[in-house]
Amino acid sequence: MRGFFIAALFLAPIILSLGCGGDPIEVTRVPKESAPSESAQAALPDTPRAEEDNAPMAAPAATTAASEVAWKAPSGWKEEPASGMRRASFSVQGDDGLAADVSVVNLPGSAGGLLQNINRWREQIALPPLSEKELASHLQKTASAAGTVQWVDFVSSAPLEGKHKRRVLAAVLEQSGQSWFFKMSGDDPAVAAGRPDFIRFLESLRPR
Amino acid sequence: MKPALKRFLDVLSSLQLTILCLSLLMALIVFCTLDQVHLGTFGAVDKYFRHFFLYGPADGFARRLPVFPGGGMVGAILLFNLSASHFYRFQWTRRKSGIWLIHAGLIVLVLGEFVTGMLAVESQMAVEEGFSRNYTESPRLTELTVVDASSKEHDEVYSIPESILSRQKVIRHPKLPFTILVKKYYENSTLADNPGWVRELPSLATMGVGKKIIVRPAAPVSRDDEANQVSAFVELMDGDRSLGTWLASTAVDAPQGFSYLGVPYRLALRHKRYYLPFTIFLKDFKHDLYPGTEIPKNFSSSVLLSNEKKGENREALIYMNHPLYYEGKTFYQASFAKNDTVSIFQVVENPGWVLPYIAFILVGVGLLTQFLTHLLAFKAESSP
Repeated sequence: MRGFFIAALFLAPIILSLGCGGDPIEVTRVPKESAPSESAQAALPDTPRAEEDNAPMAAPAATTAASEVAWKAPSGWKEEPASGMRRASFSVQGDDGLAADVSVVNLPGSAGGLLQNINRWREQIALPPLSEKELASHLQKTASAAGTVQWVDFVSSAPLEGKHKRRVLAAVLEQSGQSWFFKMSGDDPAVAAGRPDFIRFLESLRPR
Repeated sequence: MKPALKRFLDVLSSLQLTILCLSLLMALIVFCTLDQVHLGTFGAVDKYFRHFFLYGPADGFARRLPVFPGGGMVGAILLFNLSASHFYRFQWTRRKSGIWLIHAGLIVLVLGEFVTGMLAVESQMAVEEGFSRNYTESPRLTELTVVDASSKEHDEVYSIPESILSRQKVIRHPKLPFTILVKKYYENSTLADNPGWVRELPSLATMGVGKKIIVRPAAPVSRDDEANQVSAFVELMDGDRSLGTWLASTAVDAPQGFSYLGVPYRLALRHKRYYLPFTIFLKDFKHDLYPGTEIPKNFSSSVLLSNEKKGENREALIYMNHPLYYEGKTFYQASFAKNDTVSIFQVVENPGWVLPYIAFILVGVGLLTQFLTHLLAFKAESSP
């Protein structure tokens, strides 16, 4: 009997170590998937669900589709086909043949965080990154029916291409565990002229 | 018994080893608690307690060196130590039966933690009203999937876990006609549209949606309510011939299709799926409020469970404190989304769930036995 236990003691590490190997590539045969089921699963939140039974539930979250936030585009904006990650795309014609580009992108979660995204936009027009402290003085807020939209307005310190400086107007709306990014970018004069329309566009945001 | 084996068993069953293990566990708990700031609860518990060693920082060499025993190692030694002293040192007598039971309970408790750590799976299932679902998803683990969609009846899903994607440069499977070359892997990333005039960081992708997307590495998230946005540029190769490079990312919603040798495939990087041998159809999700307030009163999901193989078809109502138990899995009502039309269940499968109960019963009975044995002995001694 004792011999058995001693043997068991020596075998146990081998048995236990079996559970520690890496996961292999799995092949599974599953019934054909239909498109709608994809969209429902995408609604899984990145926020945690209620941990305790009595705790209030986590805010509803949904990721798919542009169906979560709606907007009213200003009359001068020309809708372009959405491509890649864009949920919507517009082109805005300014004077002297200058144009600005407006994009709407949504990503799950905080998509890297506000500061990181803002510094990314600054980097695109060759501006140095901001610190968390400096960020506050650049943030502007606009209220909309979908929630408060935080936005920034940056102009490059020198022309990057052509004779004009570049300008980025970019806004973030966090809603139901999603981040919505609205960005107008282009040559400074065109974006400056389009700024009032962009702010009105932000004010028009509403949950759908 | 040979003297060497006896010495080994003496050390293995010694109280000193028990105390060493308990001290190491205490140290691990302190390290783990402090590191939660950087890694989050799940990350810290995984690093300190779910591995056999703690590894030092990467130093450019192929392997990182183990620097401290992990919870897995200390737990295993403690388990052997308890088992050894239990079977080798203890003598089964009526007087010591209480201690024997307490020890047995502790062994079962440590064993239970092993079983839970190695085999328990927690995942989530989101179902939209009017739709059914036959899989659950891990909120943390991701996988690169290649789906062979050539059959009319079913899909063949090849899932490559992130652990392979992050480690291997070349991934092969005998049933796939191409190899997967991982050109770049990001544990966490941010994706942005390339407006065209940004010259830096050209996308590596030559196919699919990734061609105009800029991917930047980001620091892995540590908060438990955040998830990494895993991305990878993968090139599919048939021998020396490239079929193209795709950007796969958890930030890209839909799978990307392509076809090779007449077979349609779909490529996606998504949260790891656990397929079920049954389906859950969500008939109705209810989110009741107390009248006149916004305070939730009740959340409930009316579901239809179908298991074709067993010919089972039954309805169930899942609500707070009333989960659905089926095939070793427990479905809890956890959350909801999309204006109350999507219900989200937390799905827990733990084959070792019963072990802690057995452990506590053993320890409880042991303590009671020990107390009564001593009490009766004391009474017998003190009576004239």
